[in-house]
Amino acid sequence: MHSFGYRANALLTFSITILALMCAMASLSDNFNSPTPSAQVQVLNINWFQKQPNGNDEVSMTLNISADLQSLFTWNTKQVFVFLAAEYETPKNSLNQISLWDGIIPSKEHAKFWIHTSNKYRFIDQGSNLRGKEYNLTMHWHVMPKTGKMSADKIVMPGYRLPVEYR
Amino acid sequence: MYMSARDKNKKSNNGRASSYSSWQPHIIMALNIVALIRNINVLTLKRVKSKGELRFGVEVKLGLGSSNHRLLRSALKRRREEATTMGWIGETVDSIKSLQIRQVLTQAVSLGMIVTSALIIWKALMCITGSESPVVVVLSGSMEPGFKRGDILFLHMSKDPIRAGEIVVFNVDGREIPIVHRVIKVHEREDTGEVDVLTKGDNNYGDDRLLYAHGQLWLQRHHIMGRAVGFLPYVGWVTIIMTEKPIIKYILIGALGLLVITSKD
Repeated sequence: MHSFGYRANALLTFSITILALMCAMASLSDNFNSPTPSAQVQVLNINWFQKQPNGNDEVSMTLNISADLQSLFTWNTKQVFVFLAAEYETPKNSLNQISLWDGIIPSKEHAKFWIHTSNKYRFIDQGSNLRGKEYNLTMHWHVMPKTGKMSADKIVMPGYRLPVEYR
Repeated sequence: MYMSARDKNKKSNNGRASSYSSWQPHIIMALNIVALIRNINVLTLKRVKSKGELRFGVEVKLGLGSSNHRLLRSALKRRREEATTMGWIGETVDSIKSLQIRQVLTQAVSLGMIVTSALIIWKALMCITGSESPVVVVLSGSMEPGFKRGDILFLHMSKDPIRAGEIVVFNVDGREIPIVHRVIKVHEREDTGEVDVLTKGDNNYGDDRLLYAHGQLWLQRHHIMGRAVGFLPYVGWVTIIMTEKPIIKYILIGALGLLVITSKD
């Protein structure tokens, strides 16, 4: 009954149980953190704005993004994935979300940043609805834990408008 | 199912209560679940699942079988001793035969219990999460540094609409292994509510249009198997190692069987 095998077995099971419990506690401890992130985005320039041969509007813009996401980091945070999406409605689509820029923040030290960039992914509409279109820029972030539950949230920044004419 | 297994173990201990022996089925069951997870992930879904149970059923049988063999041997020895004192050989043979049948039946029942309970847990998870495969193992590095090879993801498939930024698991026509990537573009129809989704791996340079079927520009709802909600590092290595180096699996099973044989009653 108290042979080597059973003891090893018991030790293994016990250590796995403890490990699982610690993982669960680490994941639950994230709930105590109430983050207060902030973000500002400026559209500095519309580089070009045209209709593709297949009829879809495409726009290229230069953005100035500054954000402070330090409060998202806890001891169980592996990284924060942050991205800026343009969101708008068209007659055909009730929601269009287009990611313009994204980045991975590996640690708290890098969580307060300022970046000047043109859009990383192409801003293409399904159709030709972008002239004079009002859209929101939304800063989304997805917190990836070292272990446990992933969480996400966003800041919506409304009131941006595309030019009325192609350029 | 634990009850039956524990009772059996107690019997094999000749009435000595043992708190450790009851862990045996846990490990066997864990292996069973691992086998199920592995098969669902690495191979195609329905076809192989039953095969996996079967295969593992045999392995489990090995573990239990050897303990039962030992049990049987000691029981036989006892009977034989009784028989010599009584001197009634024919009756003994009959009783051995009946004993054997009972042993085999007990073995079959407890084996069935272990396999079914593993299946019940799996199916219950499927019901709760609404996903065909609630737990998947990451096989590639396209989502690094977020997800590395060997990490485990817990999936959830709810009715909620798919939004940009979510990490989804999707099947592409003509590809056997599902892919875990992040949604970067969403277009949701006004009238039907259907969605067009574009994905990209965090660690990839470009979006996933090259991975999709030829000429496919968007993923639709039916391609998507679930979204990742939870994350557990490293655990998936067990299944990866077992799949890629089957010899290790057999060594493990063999060691387990050997442990059962060599340990005292």
